[in-house]
Amino acid sequence: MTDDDMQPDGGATKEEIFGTGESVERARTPPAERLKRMYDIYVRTPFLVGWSDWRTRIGGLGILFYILMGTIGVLIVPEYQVNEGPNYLSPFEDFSIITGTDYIGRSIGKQVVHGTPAMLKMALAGVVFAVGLGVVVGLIAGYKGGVVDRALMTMADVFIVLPGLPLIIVIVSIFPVRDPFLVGAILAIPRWSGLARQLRSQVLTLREEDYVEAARAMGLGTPTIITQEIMPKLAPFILISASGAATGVIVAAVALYFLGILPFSNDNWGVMMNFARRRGNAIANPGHAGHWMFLPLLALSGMTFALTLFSQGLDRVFNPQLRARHSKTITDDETGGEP
Amino acid sequence: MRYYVQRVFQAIITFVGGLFLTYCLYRLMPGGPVQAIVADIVSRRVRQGRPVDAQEIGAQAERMTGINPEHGILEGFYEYVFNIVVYQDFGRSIGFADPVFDVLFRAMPWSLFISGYGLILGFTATVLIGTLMAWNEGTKTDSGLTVFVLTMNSIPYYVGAIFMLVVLGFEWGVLPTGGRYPQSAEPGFNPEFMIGVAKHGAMPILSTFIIGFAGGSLGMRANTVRIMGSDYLRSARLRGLSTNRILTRYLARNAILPIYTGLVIGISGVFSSGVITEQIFQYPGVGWYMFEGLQLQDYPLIMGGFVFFAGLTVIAILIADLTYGLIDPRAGDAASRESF
Amino acid sequence: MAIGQPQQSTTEEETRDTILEVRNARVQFGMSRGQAWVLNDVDLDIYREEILAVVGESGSGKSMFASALLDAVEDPGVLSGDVTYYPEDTGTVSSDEIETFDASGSNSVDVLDLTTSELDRLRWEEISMVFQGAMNSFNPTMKILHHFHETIRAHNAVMEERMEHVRDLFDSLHLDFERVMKSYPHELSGGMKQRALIALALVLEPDVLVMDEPTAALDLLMQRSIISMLRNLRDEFGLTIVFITHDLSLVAGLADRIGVMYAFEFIEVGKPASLLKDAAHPYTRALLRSLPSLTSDLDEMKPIAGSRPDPVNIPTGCSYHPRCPIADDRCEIEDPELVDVDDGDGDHQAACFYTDQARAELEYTLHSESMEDM
Repeated sequence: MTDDDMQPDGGATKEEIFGTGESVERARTPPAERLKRMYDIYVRTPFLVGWSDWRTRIGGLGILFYILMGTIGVLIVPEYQVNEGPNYLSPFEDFSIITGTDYIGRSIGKQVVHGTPAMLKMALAGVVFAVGLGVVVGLIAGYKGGVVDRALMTMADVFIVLPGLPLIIVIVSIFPVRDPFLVGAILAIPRWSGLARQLRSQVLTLREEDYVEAARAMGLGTPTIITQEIMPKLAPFILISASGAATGVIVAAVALYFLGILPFSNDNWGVMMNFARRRGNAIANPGHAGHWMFLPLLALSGMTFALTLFSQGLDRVFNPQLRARHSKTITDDETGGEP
Repeated sequence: MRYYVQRVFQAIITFVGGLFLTYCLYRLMPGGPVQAIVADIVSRRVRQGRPVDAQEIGAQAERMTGINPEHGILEGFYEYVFNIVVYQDFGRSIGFADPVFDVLFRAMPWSLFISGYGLILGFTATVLIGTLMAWNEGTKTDSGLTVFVLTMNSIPYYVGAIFMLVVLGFEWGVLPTGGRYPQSAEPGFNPEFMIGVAKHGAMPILSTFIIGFAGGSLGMRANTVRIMGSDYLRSARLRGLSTNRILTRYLARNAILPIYTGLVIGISGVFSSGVITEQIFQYPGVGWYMFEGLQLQDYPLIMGGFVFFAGLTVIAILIADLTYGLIDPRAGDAASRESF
Repeated sequence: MAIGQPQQSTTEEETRDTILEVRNARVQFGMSRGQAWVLNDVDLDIYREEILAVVGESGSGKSMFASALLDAVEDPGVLSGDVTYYPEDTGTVSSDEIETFDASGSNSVDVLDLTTSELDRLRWEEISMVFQGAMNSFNPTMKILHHFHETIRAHNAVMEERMEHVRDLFDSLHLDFERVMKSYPHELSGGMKQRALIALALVLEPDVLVMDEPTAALDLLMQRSIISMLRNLRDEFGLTIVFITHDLSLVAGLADRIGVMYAFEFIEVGKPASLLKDAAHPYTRALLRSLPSLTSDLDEMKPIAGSRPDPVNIPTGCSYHPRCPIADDRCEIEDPELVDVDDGDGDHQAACFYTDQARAELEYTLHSESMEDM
């Protein structure tokens, strides 16, 4: 319903970004060569372009830091234990447990580190689910058009209108999820539809491009055209959406765990905060147990900050052309309708 | 005219579609609430040695969930929607022993109060800050505000809420930490009640304001900068129009257009994050009741809360959509909207 | 330095009545690389009721010249020098205008010395402008009618009288008054918008209309029809038109005089007949040689060698000398002034030391049909 209004400014990522779509030859090149080109298109070029902006650079390094913390960090930092120190030890009091301890003397810092994998799993599942579904639905709707398009877009519209968190409460009330991957996927349900909508309208403009038409005329199949001609142009946009989805999922997850809407099943920052609030009374008595709640909150803020910075930077890098393009389209609208 | 009819029609379709989807979830999910309740009733009856009569159990389950498991999916859905539309009957809340509609209807104004104020404040701030940045483009004010906005934007909204609650509510004790108004106050037009409402609402509104505000202002800045360099603005200046007219009719009007659609997304975001805000501040609005329903396994209440939020979102988006047609003459142009 | 003092020119013949006098006009920009001069000491007189075409490559300073006439140079550009406007002495000027501009007793207005409110009145009431990028000169969220209304209101003019005038203008421009006025800009075609914009520029009956590349975004037929309407407008309303373009062939048939700009100054000014048939400046000759035509061979069309001058680093002496085939040492040091060529009646002037040599050695042929007519 509000599909087209909902676009951020700009639209399709066009050939300005990656150079004009290389010719259809690519479909006939040997696999190794093709892999290398795919790498160039999907990984190397976006990386180099992204690296040129300080926001993307810092954001990317931040994301990398969290990924390392959740993978290697878990191996380096030993598992937290009861009575590592006195109960409710404040931070900076004892430098062997610099972050302080919770109500049974467990190190908060270790808990944050060991809570990271669950956060990453949720974010990953959310990204895969939201972006995957959004891309598939958006591309098919935009490329196929007609009845398929209308059916898919009606479905997307329904999801756009459904309020995200209440929907999640309904789902959780029916189906108490525990697995972090599943939690991530469910939290991403409200997110795929907007992306699908936006991608569709971009594909609509892209499919009219000469080189896509040429590919079609040469008899290349729809999957080939989509993966080789259309997807590369949309890659930065999808990356930005992925980062947005990851942010949304972890923010929602921590909130829902914090408030106890999601059933506890694993260690994560939201669960820590919940315990800090319920057991340690951290909100009413922050001097006593505040660190227990604020450290995971800080970790979360750092993560969302890195993700947001990353996508803001990408937006900066890729959007000047898009902005210009957008204003151009408006101009075209105005000059249209020659009698 | 066609545009408006189309939009209204579309809104109804998507709303009913969403309702149907959740209804199916409720009915069909193995181990879902309706099945669980039916199983519960059956086992209780068996234990008590009472006859297991499908119709009676269906009626009992309907009282508890608003959904009769004996009816077919479509028939049951029709009944459910019919009851909602005609009798405002969402079923009976198990936890609050009241019709769900009454419970939610009492809570509704409070939710609207929080979200509405927060949203309006946030939107105003978006426009003002965006314009301020554009006006001082390239200066220290601009870059300072950009960093500020970016930071606000990238930290989860409830972090601010928690900090406020800790500092203003508990440490300093300036603002109440829960409830909608002081218990001693008599609801009505008396100063104690009004001030109480304002005080209790302050923190929830402020934290809603944070959600609403940061995101759009960078976009507003970009729009304003673009329009300040546009040909029509230069032409207007040369034609000797007053600064006032240029600011309102040319600059603000055109710069807000793209932001306005951002507001649409903001509406659904703000309403649905109301669940978290209301819970953090223990503010009994619809979101709070929905949360309580979850704790009490009060399915009619959860479902009712969801319908309320979905309806509110649809209406809000519809209003924004229809008024967009009023403020942007190009909106009715189906062709241009389709491609972009 | 000055070309024909206004006092002298009025005595010569009616068409030499000067309406705008530009002296030592300079526009400078502070750029990171240094000071940029985008208008370099320009002197020119514009005569009443003439159509003056200003021709030049993109980046030759012609748009800047147009803006300078209304003191409308955008920040951070700084305009210096003199622009003097001579209102008509006769009673066609409405009484309130005389109050503003003739209170000092003289019948000349120093455009660059006006206060903001005086400048606001001068613009549109005396000198009006149609922009480059005319397609976007209307507010996209406002109906065309309201653009006229707000302009009339801003200048405190009589609404009914002005709208009556607009109806006449629309008739002259072949526009449907009811339909266009009710429309939003996006509902009109490029040509209609362009003509509506001309009408908007003329709503307060200015004496001078400055048009900056007004037809750039239009197709050829629409360009031609607007050109012919312009001539009618001039005759009907006694307008003076300054027409800025990069397209020499477009204005060859329209203009009474053509000024050629190169490197932010005029290097040749003259009537189309003599300027086109027998250009005196090497640059003009090269420009004419580079014109495409339906009938000419590609070989005959020669692009001008070298690149256009950098506003930060304008060549010393004659600014064309790095690209000029006949330049010598003198050209590198001394900056030539505009001087009379031909019989010295001020009809044809060029800024070159070696006009005779240029005419003898640098060949070009005119192809364009409209130019043959001259």
